[in-house]
Amino acid sequence: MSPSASLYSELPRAGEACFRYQGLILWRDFPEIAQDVRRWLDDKRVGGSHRRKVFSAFVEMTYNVLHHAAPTVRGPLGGGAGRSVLATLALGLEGPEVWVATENLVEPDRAGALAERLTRLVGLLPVEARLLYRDRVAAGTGHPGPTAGNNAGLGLLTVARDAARPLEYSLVPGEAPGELTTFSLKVYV
Amino acid sequence: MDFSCQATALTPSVSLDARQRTLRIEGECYPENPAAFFQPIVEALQAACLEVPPRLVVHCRLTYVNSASLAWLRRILAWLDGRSQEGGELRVVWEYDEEDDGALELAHDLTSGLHHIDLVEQRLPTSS
Repeated sequence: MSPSASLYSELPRAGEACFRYQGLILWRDFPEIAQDVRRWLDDKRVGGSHRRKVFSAFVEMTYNVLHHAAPTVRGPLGGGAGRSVLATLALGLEGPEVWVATENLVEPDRAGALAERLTRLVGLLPVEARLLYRDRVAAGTGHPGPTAGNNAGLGLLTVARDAARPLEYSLVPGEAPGELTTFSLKVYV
Repeated sequence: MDFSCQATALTPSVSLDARQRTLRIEGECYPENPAAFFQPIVEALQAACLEVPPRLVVHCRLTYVNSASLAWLRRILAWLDGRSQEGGELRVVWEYDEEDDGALELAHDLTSGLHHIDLVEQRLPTSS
């Protein structure tokens, strides 16, 4: 897929071993982007459990962007009535590890809660993340009716559980009060 | 009440055979809106499992499940488990790639603490 717009700052690169999508993202684009990532993983011969964990990190982080990023484009360019965001999604190889990174804008009043969640996740040992994940899944015993939520905050915890190193993130406030905050997240799997 | 839907790029195929008491889920699962995807399945299951305790075999061959879908699968299994407390027959046959032990761990996460589910692990060759 070709990016439809350019954006913000540069994410870390790993020479030729980098997949990068930078631009406008719509829900309807996601299957095609995911297929591109699969091809990239095929090309880099990432297989088995490692492949599933990398793909999982990519999906969870992209969904996090699609759900929580500040919508910056509306109207025809933004897919009509649909919600769209500008973001960067990237994967790269670094030795035996694959990194997955995202960058997007968030409303300033969301940045605090996001930093709080991520700080907790960064401080977890792998075994702690693993146990917390299982506890959160086991806590999901509510009736599976129409009022049930879609998630129990599992997305970023899933990413932390599968990470080979602590999550790396930054939240850079806009220059003027009330301006959007730039949120970057990177994980090594 | 039977139910079926075809796989898409983001969702698995689902087939509920109320007479045979089987539910098959196969593919990848990371829908844009998990509630919209799972709610019809829940309704069909509820109609098919009116008897107490219920009998059901769930065949899962999920190559990837995102966290939001996992939460829905857990709720469904927990609901079935709760209805089986008086002696129902609830079996989950979990098929997973032999090169992906994490997929088996997922099955254990999903069924952790659910005491009336018989988890059957089926390891499949990667090429299948």
